[in-house]
Amino acid sequence: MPRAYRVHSARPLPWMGWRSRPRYDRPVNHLDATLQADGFVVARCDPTASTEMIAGQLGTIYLHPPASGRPSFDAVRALAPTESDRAAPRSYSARFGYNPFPLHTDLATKPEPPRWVLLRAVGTPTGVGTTLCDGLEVVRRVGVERCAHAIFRAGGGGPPHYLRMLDRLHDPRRLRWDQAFLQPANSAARHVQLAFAELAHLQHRVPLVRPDAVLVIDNWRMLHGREAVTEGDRGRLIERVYLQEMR
Amino acid sequence: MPAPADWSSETLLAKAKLYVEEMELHDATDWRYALWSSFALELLARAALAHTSPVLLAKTDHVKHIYFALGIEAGAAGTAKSIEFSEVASRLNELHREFTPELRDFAVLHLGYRNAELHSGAAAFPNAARWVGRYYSTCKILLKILGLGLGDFVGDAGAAEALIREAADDAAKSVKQDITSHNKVWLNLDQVLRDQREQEALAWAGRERGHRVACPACRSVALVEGRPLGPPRAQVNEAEQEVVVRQAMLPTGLRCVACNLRIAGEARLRFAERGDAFTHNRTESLPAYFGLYTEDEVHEAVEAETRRFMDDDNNE
Repeated sequence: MPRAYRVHSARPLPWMGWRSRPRYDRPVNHLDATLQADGFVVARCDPTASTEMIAGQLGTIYLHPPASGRPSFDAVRALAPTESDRAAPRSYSARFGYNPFPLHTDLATKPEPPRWVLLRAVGTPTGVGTTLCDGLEVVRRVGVERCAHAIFRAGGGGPPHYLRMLDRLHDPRRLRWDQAFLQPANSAARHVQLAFAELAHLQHRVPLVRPDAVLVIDNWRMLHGREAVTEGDRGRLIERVYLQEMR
Repeated sequence: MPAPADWSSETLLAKAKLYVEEMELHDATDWRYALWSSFALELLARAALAHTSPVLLAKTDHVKHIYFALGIEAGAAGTAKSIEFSEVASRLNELHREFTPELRDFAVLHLGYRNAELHSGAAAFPNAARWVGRYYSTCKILLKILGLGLGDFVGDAGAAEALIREAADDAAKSVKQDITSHNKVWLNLDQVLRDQREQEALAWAGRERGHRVACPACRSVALVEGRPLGPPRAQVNEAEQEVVVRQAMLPTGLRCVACNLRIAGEARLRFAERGDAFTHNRTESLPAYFGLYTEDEVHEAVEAETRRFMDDDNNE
């Protein structure tokens, strides 16, 4: 099977955003090192290869449990901007519609969220960027101990339950964050929520425009969101795959 | 298949942490301190067991509980049942050596007080000074099973460690007091009576009953009982037609019939300097060990084997 991707990575500075000259000469085996260092990477890929195939070459696909109405597990989900009235209930689109999606980690309400998120633009190229924020930096500024003691109540579908924001059991540490579907359940969590609101300036943006690039995010570390969608950008279509581990 | 959130180690631990925070909002003399402590302990223990597998929490009387624990939706949601706390504690003791029988028994006792508190008009919990050290000691081991420390769970890990040390010191003092008092009684006995009791202890303390040690109070031969530590190892001696089975044992109790000293529990035995692991040996004949039949028993063996494979004849 031909290699489906080459890797390049740019280390965006928080105040500058994306670099304009990506490098194509970084070998494939630097993917891990870049992800470890930055928490995310943009990898060039074969635009004719399917997202599932690209994901399968990178790692073990995390099968997303079926949502209501869906007959089976999905490896790849297509994400399109949707008006809030028409979006699936308990989804980000239902809450925010075309407005910006706040920074979050995916499947934060699950006890075992997937480690990696892979995003790929497959629709009409748009100017809507994906926002990223290093969760480790947030934790450092808010305070590791406070974050480790923060407990949230997970709602948003399924029976409610409690979850820790920062899990030090895993190596690396596992962070979860979701203002929409995680509510503070103790004072540490309330403090964290207040402190987090003041740290939004730490985010930067990554444009996802073409199908020849995939954005891989460490979902246990990086928070991600989406910029507002204007009328001209409603053709945006992103394919998303979760990976449990990288090869 | 992901485990259900209700039985996930992560959610159980998070809830246990919320409850211990409630506990710490109250003074140790307040009844709510004890009540919340029991809620936190149960959830922490269940989290530790689920950390190995959530299936260990499932009741085994119906397969639907196991389906639920495996994350298989087979109509069990809302009706799946988990095991009683005493079973949780037993399984933890079986799976994790560091969760000793003493910690198991303490946890079961503490939850027993919780049940009495909830189901009766009694103020069921004893004074916190009598249990808080062992409580934090139990939590510490459960957190260790989860790969965490007291600092990840309680508000003041330093204070909790101090309470653990105080409880250990108290236990050590109590063991030493027991030994000292039995020694005083022994020394006050007539020499003739002492000699007689020493002989009786020697006759009673056969090796087949336990591990022989010198009693810390009267120096007579006492016995230490234990529980198996790891699998037994068998060594075959064909020349002698026998098998020697060696089993490593962890001491659980000491008994001396000369001065009537009894020490129960691994920790208390360590304070008495009788807590070292020992090996129990037993010798069996080759046929007995391997379930073989001798020549004289061949006829019986054939009958027994034949019976195993014959269906019941209801017409006979």
